[in-house]
Amino acid sequence: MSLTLLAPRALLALLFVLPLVALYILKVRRERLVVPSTSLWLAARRDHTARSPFRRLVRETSLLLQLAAIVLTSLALSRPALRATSTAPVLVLVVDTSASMAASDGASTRIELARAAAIRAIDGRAGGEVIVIEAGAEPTRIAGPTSDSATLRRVVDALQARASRGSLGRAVDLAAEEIAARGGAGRVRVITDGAEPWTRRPGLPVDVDRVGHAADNVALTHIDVRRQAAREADQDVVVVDAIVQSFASSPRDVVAELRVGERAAGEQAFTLAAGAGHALTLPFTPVAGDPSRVVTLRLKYARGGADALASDDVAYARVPSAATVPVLHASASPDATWVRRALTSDRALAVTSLAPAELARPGAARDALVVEEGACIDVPGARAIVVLAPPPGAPCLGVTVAAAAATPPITSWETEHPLLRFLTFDGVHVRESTALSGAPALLRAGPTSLVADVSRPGRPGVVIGFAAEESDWPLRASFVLFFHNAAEAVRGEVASELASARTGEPLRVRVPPETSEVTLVGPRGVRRTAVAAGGVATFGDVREPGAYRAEWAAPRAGHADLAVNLASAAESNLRAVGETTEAPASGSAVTATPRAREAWPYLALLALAALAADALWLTRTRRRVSRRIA
Amino acid sequence: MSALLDADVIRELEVLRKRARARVRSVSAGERTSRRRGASAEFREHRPYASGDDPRRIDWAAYARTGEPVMKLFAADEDVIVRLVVDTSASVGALGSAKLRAAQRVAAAIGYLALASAERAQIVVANEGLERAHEPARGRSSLPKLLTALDALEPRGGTDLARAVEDTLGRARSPGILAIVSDFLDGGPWDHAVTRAAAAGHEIVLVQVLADEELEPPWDGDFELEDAETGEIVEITVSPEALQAYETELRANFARLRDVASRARAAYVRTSPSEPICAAMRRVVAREVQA
Repeated sequence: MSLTLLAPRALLALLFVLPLVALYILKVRRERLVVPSTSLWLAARRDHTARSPFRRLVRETSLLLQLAAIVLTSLALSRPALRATSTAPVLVLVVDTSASMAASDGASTRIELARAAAIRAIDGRAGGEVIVIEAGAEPTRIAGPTSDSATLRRVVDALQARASRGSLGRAVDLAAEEIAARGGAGRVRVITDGAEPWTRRPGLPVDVDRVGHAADNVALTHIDVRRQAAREADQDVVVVDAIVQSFASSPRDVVAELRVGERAAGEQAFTLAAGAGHALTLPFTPVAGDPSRVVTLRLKYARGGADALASDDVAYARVPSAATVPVLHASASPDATWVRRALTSDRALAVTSLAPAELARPGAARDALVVEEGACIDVPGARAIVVLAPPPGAPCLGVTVAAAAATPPITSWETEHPLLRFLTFDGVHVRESTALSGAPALLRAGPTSLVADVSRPGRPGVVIGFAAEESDWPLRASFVLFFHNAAEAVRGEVASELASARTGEPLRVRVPPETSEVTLVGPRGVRRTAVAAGGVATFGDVREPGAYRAEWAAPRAGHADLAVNLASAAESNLRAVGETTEAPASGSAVTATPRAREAWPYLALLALAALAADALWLTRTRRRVSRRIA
Repeated sequence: MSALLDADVIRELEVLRKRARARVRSVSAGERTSRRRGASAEFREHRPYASGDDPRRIDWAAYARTGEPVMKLFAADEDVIVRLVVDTSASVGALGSAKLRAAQRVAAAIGYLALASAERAQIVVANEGLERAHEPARGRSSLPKLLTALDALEPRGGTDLARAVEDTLGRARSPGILAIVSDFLDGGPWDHAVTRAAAAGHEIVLVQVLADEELEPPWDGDFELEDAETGEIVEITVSPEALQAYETELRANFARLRDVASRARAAYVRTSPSEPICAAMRRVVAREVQA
């Protein structure tokens, strides 16, 4: 514990003590009083004279109380604070344990090099305490502050690379907070392979130990599974779409092997040029006896053996269910047929056409994909919603819709949105569209937003500013794929594969609304339990990629297969040397922070108490001044 | 009646006087027994009758011969004179007029008791010595004159109580009752003078009159105390400690008075303006020695 003054200049108020004492010494402007005889007071005067001024001051209760009030007030104004930590310089070790740290580096791995660097830093320090922060999916202080080298070594030796993205920037922020809590006395040492960029904070003394060397790597960065209803057969076809990205300096011969459980379901060989990406499509027919609905796509290399990082050579994805998806198609114009034709082309969709007014019927859209043309109604219960050509001049699902106007060429679009995955708008022309504002733009024509994201938790949605007939988009494959994505979103299976089911992130599982407890079985059989509420159970910090199974017993036994992937191009790019950037001047510099308990309120109360006691003393003393003699 | 003695006070004093006379009668024939030895029924002298005298003591034979009422006095019924030595120094006038007024009232009450008992009363004004000795008065009819003389007293000058007592003794042709009304704050050797007066056969009554502020100082803080008589300045901070020292000194003064009263077989009564006059007079008549 240490005491510091956050506003030490306020102690100048102590100077008020001097005039107060002077007033007490000099104050004696005595009142003249004629008494019958002064002989009786001579002894009292002798006593008074015998007292030195200082001693007299000491005896002045009122003065003492007033001095106490001044001192306490001054101390309160100086804002004394008790710090729970010492101000001795501290070494904060930030060790990167992201997935890239598992990469091999000669005969060793990057994490082994990092551990060795951390041990060297611990042993080579001049003294003082050490804090160890692991920069995994979440920055975590795993040791310290302590000066016990044995403890620190033991903690560092236990560090392992995680199969997740890192948090180096936030880990450095945490280190800065630890140092600031100690009055700014300390230094940060970051041990990383440099794969993850982070921002250097001004005023924070940071040393960086880069471990490992640039290495070639090939990674599965995206995977998706869709079910296609076969027109001629009863059995659906499952298509696995994936992207294989090269982070290598030379071409690689790659074999992608698809398995369902232990069953080989497909294979594809291809040559991957240096730095290129390869879109992979592997269809297979599911078998009734498949033990899991999770497929495994694994990369093998024909030449050169395994690459530097193994964790991104495998990806997992869940096969969507074959159940048909209810679709409510409401169109204000009977001539608009493109959308209906796209919806009905997918046999997995059960399309119901109705007038827009009928959407307002309670329960009409429960668990359905709602597609509206020329109308915009926020339908309760919809699992996904798509609005085309909303009426101009009125807000639509939180989006402001301007009047229709001629549209310049499309310039950019987002592919991260679940409804726009694998879509391209190259060559698409829009004749006339309304401009959308008030929501994130997904499709832009210059500064104009043509498609806006109106998704809510549990209900993805987009507003398309133009009618299908006002563009040549229906003539493109992406038009059909867009509605397929929408149907997948309704199945609740789209986001879980790559967006939300990444290692290091929470895993959300849809369960029956009545279910209260869900057990998650990991790839190695490790079981975890979570409470479910509102039909959703969330498991925090899923660190290991692979196939998971969520199980529940009530209201009736059930399970769901889930897939978790690393899917991080940043972690897979082992050639990146990493860069740190300086934070702008307005950024938060390291300063002594007030993670301390301030004591001024208590001192202020004591000062008030002293003043109150002084007032009480003065009034009571005057009443009590003497008693009758004899 | 004077403001010094109103009707209620006189009624009270009369009760006191009769009670005292009854007590004296139980042991002697006269109203007041002489402190000197001698034959109790021995004729001593005649004196003219004065208003207030006991008619039973009129020498009717002499009256028949001369036509003038005369009183027949015996040795045990000597003609007692009550000398009222009233301190009028400036100290009695300090802290307002209440203290002097209290002294005047006490002197007036003692004088009344003397006059009502057919004794003579004489006012002796004392400050830096014997300032003035009024003619002795006798009888109830002299009461207004006595009260007027007391009422006219004004405080001034210093105090030399010893000299005033010595001067009074020097002028006294015969011993009597010597009632000294003062604050007795005079540092002089008044105790020796009182002792000598007692030795000369005077019956001593010491009445100490103090202001209420002297008995219970109400002050707090820093003061310049000016002595009313000497003008001496004493700077004082009235604190609990100072008050304690003051009380010690005042109690020493009380002890000195008690000691003198004991040695002179005198009465010692202490009073203040806030005390009813009759309460103090009860102690005077009872010849108490104040604790």
